[in-house]
Amino acid sequence: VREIAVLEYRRRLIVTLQFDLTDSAALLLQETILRRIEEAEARGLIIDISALGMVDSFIARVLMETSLMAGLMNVRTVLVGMKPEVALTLVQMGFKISGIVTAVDLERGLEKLDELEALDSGKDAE
Amino acid sequence: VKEAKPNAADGSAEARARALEEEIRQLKAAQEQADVTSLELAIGLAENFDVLQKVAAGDYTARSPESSTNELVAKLAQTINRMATSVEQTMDNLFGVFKRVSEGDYSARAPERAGNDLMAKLGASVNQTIEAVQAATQEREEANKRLAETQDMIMSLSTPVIQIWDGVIALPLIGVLDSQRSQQAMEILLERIIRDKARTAIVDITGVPLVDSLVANHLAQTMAAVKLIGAEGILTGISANVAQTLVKLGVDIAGITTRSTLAEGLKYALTRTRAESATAAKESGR
Repeated sequence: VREIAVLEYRRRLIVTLQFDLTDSAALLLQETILRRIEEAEARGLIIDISALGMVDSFIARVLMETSLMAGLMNVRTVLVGMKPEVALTLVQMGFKISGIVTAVDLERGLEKLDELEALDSGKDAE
Repeated sequence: VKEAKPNAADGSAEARARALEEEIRQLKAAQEQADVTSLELAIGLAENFDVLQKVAAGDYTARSPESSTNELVAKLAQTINRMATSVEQTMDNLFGVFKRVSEGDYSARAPERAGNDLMAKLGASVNQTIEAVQAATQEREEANKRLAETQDMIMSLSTPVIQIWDGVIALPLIGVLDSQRSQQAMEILLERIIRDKARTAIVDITGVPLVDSLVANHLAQTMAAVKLIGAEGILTGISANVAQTLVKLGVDIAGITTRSTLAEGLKYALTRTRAESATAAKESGR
C-alpha cells in the first residue's frame, strides 16, 4: 500500500490523491485523514482528486462519508478537481450527492473554505 | 522379263515367291508401324483430352506432356500448354488485381497487352470497371467527409458555451434537443467549466420548445455533474411545456437551482460572485 501524503497548512489539511484507489486504500485514506484531523486540530480539509481517472460508487461513498465524519469533528471539507468523465459516470450511475462541497481546483477550494469558515465564525458570533 | 519366263520357269517361280515374301514382310512392317502410330495417336489424344477437360473445369495448372515421339501429338500438346499458360497467367493477374482492389488499392490494373486479343480486351474492361468503382468510391468518401464536417459545424454551432462574466459561463440552447445533442452539450459544458475555472454555469433553455425524458434526464445529470466538478449550475428559461414535462416525468430536480430568465440567472450568479469576493476581501483584509 502506497503512503498517502497529507499536507498541513494553517490548520488546514490538503490531501492529493495521486493514483486510483482500491477499496482498502480508500478506507485507509479515510482513517488517515480523520487521525490527522485529530492530531492537527484542523478546521478545513481539501481532498484533491484531479489525478483520479476512475471513481466508483464505493470510493465516492467513502469520500462523502469522510466529509460527513470530518463535519462531526467541526471540519469543513471541499472536494476538488473531479474530472468531467468521472462526474458523468457517477451521475449516470445514479450516485446521490448530498452534504458535499466541491470546487474546480485547489485554488477555488481554498476560497470555498475561506467562505465557509467566514460563515461559521459569523454564526458563532451570533 | 517376258522373254525370261519360258526359259527359267523354275527359277522365276522361286524368285516370284521370294519377291512376294519380301513384299509381305514389308507390308507387315508397315502394318506394325501403322499400329504403333495409331497407338501413339490414341494415347496422345487421350492425354491431351484429359488436360483439356481439366482446363475446361478450371484447373489452369494442368499441362500436357510434350515428349511424345509423334510429331502431331507433340505439337498438339505444345499448343494446349501455350493456351493453358496464357489462361493461367491472365487469371493470376486478374485475381491479383481483384484482391488488391478488394483491399482498397484502386491503383491496381490488369495488363492490357496480352498474348491474345480476348485476354487484352478482358484486361481493358476490368480496368474500366476498376476506374468506375474508384471514381464512385472517391465521390462517396468526399460526400461523407463533407457530411461529417457539416455535422461538426452544426454541433459546434448548436452548443455554444460563452463566458459572460468572470467565472460565469453560459450555454444557451436553442431548438429541439435530441439525446445526442444534450449529451454533447453536457460534455462541452463540463470541459469548459474546468478550462475557464468557472464558479457558475448557466444553462438557458428558453429556446427549447420541448424535451423528452432522455433529454430531461440529461439536463438533471448535467446539473448534478456540474456540482460534482465544483461549480454551481443554474437552469434558466424553463417554459411552461418543459416545466410540465420535467415534473410529470419525475425527473430528479430537487437539487437544481432555477431562474426564470437568463438575465435573472446572471443576476443570481453575480450576487454569488460578489458575496464570495466580499468574503475574500474581508478575509485578506483581516
